[in-house]
Amino acid sequence: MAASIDEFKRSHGRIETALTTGETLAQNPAALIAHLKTVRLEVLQHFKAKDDFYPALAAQCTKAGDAAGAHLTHIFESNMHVQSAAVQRFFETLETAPAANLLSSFQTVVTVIRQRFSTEERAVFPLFIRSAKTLETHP
Amino acid sequence: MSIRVDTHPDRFVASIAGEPHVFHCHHYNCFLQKSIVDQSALLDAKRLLTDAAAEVVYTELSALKATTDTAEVLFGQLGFGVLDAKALTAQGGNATVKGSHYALGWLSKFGKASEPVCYFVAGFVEAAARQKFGAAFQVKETACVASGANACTFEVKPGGRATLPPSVGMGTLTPFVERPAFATRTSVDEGAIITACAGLPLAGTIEGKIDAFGVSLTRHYSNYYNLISYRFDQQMASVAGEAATAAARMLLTEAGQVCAFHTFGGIMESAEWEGLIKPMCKTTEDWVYGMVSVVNALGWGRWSVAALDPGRRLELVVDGSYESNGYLAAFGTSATPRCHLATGGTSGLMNLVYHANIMSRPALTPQLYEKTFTEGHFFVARETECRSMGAKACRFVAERL
Repeated sequence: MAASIDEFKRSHGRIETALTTGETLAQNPAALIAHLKTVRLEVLQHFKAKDDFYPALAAQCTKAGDAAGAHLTHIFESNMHVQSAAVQRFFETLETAPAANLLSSFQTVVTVIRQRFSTEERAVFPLFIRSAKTLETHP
Repeated sequence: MSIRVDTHPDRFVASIAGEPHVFHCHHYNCFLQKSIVDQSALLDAKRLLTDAAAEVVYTELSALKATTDTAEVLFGQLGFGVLDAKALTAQGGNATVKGSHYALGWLSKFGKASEPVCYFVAGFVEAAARQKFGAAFQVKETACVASGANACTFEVKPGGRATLPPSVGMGTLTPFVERPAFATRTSVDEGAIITACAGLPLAGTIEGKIDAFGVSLTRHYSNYYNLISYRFDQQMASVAGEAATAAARMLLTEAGQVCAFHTFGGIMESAEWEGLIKPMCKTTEDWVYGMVSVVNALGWGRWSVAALDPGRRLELVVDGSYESNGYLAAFGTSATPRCHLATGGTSGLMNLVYHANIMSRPALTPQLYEKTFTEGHFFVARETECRSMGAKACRFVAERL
């Protein structure tokens, strides 16, 4: 899973760039939809991978004897899962959502994704690194 | 006998002997407590809860120069149940509580508990004993209604902390900002609602209960909530770092959502709402204004609608939030927003009005809570400015996801 953390971080960068570009298109719904479609696959795959990541991280923490880490990961997992489902719904319904709703929802989605990435890079990924190091030292 | 409650209309708060009090229901009280107790693997959660209660209650009882009678009356008046502490001596003894708010609330919300749950009450009893005998005591709940006993029993023994840190009282108060123009773009008469709420019988009955709006209310200690929330945050950070802090804040904000769903929802489905506020509501948006007006009678500070895009976005400005008052006074300035209850309350309000269709009076069940906050295009909220970070007022935005 070590590779997946690096890949998650690279994906965060690509998605952030795409969101920033999307913000410049907020006055033009057709252009925004067209742009979001180009990043939809990556976003959906990213969030689905994250849904799988949290249970795996909890298991890794447990295996490493990091009960606190496992406990905290379960809290993150339930919170992140709710957000993840909402973000995925947004990207899955780009073609059918009314334009006005899409524009305002996009702004909210951007905020939620940024907060999530920030929390993960600041708080969650270090849990992974900590437990991975423990397992390296005491497999 | 009843204990005088001082209202501060200019501050939108109420106090007893200099200690601010706010209304909160059993859903919030028990959920918040459980959120902290569930982290017992990481910290001494029960001690955290009891110590905070003892400090805040003792400060108030001292200011009141309270006798045992006063403490018992106060306990019931605030809606915590019926306390009998008359058997306590300087050597300790037992105190009992009938109809404990926490025990009954826990039972109704989470079912039978595996161990006693009245941690706040243990702190209250500790404070009452300390006030009566001028000495330190330790209190342990040995039987609890939540875990199957007929009454809650508290064993009191000499010992424990020699002195208690005093509560910060009214906290750090600063001038209110000018109210936004949007705050009055409604047919809802906030002044009339606040006056009417002040006239409601929201003091404990002879059974120490405040049953209103379909929930069991307490007129609780603002600084108790503040101490347990921010010490929880601090202690989580000290034992498990950034990850624990982030998790703690998620839990505290969710407690705010739970509070909004049940208390705001209960209020908007109550006879009082039907009779007084609903007739003022000409539009769906007026329901938001109506609820904000009621909040302004709860002692939470002054809430104002700063912007409202129907069905899409709400911006609230809160002057003198009890969370920021207490945080600033007890912990100083912060690098991050601190009004977790109000953040959850903001998303909760919009979800009730525009997502759960509270106007149709749905049953406020756990299933509806789950559906409202996890399915479809629900609202999420964030605090964009906070007094604890140096802002003049706290500002919250709820947007549909």
